[in-house]
Amino acid sequence: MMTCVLLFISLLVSSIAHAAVTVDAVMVSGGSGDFGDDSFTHMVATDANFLAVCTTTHGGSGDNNTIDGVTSNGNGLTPLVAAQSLGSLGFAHLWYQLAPSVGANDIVVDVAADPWYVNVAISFKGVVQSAPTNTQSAEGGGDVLELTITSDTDELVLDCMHIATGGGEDPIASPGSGQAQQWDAGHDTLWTVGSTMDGASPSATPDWTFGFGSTYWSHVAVSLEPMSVMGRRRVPVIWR
Amino acid sequence: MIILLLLCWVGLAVAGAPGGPPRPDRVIMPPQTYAPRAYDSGRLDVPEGAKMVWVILDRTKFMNQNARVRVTIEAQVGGQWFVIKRTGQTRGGAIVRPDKSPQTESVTFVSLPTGTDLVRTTVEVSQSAGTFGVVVRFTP
Repeated sequence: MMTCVLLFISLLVSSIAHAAVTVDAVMVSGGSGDFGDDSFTHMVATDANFLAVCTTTHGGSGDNNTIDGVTSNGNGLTPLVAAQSLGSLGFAHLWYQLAPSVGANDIVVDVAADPWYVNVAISFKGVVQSAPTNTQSAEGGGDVLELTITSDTDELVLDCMHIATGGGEDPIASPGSGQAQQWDAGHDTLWTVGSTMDGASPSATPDWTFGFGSTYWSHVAVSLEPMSVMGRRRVPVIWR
Repeated sequence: MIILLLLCWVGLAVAGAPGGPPRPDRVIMPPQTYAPRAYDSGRLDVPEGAKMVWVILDRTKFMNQNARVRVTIEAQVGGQWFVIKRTGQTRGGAIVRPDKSPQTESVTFVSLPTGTDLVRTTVEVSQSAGTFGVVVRFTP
């Protein structure tokens, strides 16, 4: 009897479809720190429901590489995960906002002092409307990269990396297998790359290789859960 | 204090693609004419394949420390203009970087929204800044 009940519940639950998480739009903005805060426009589609902003900084004086906050149309984004490179030379931060405004979003990145920066706004569709729980960060130097993030097969992993190149060289970063590169931009000693990839159970490993050796890097990632068609948080794995 | 506001349109001709197959990224396309002063105006055609626009101020000739400069970048998409980036203010005079080297450029750049036909770049100067150069360039 109990087996039948469990089977019935399983069938019922599995019939709830889950929308795939997809990328809506990507906007990259950057510059030298002497310009102060960074302000740019990111267009959000009507059916997009999640906004992530990756801020990367480098070349400031020590802690002056920090970002004091990010807003979209005046509303503050929530810090999600951050990584700081060796020697505090640079940072990578991820921030997010649920249900961003449709249309033009005025993104303002509050730069603490004088770092050079590259900031990326990326909006998504089909993300469950609750705070992401699976995040990860890593810091290192040279060509050895390793970041493993808890995920699942119906999720989408976003990763963002700050790369210090020393003399302004292009690190020629290439994403690993299964990663869709979403941006690759930089100037002076700061470069940043980012990608999305399908999640995997129990974890995913966004990875990059450099054609030109970097010095230091910091890497952050988040795994985005899909929302069900009914708009609810998906059910635990055991029932699917 | 008298503040002079100069709206300087930087209209730089966009030549054809550079010779030879460009690398898929990082290539400045194409080399832009160097403007000795930021005073021109114009609408820039977006080269095919361009995804980002850069505005670079040559600081080596930007001598007046009292001057304040702000850059605004607009894009025309579907016949409508809208601001895609507006910087804070940078000042004239020398900037020494944390590694003690002089900062020779002030740089700002932004992605071009899908469907951008034209780009317009405005440099606002609070007062006479001396002679300084502006370069606008596009990258894939």
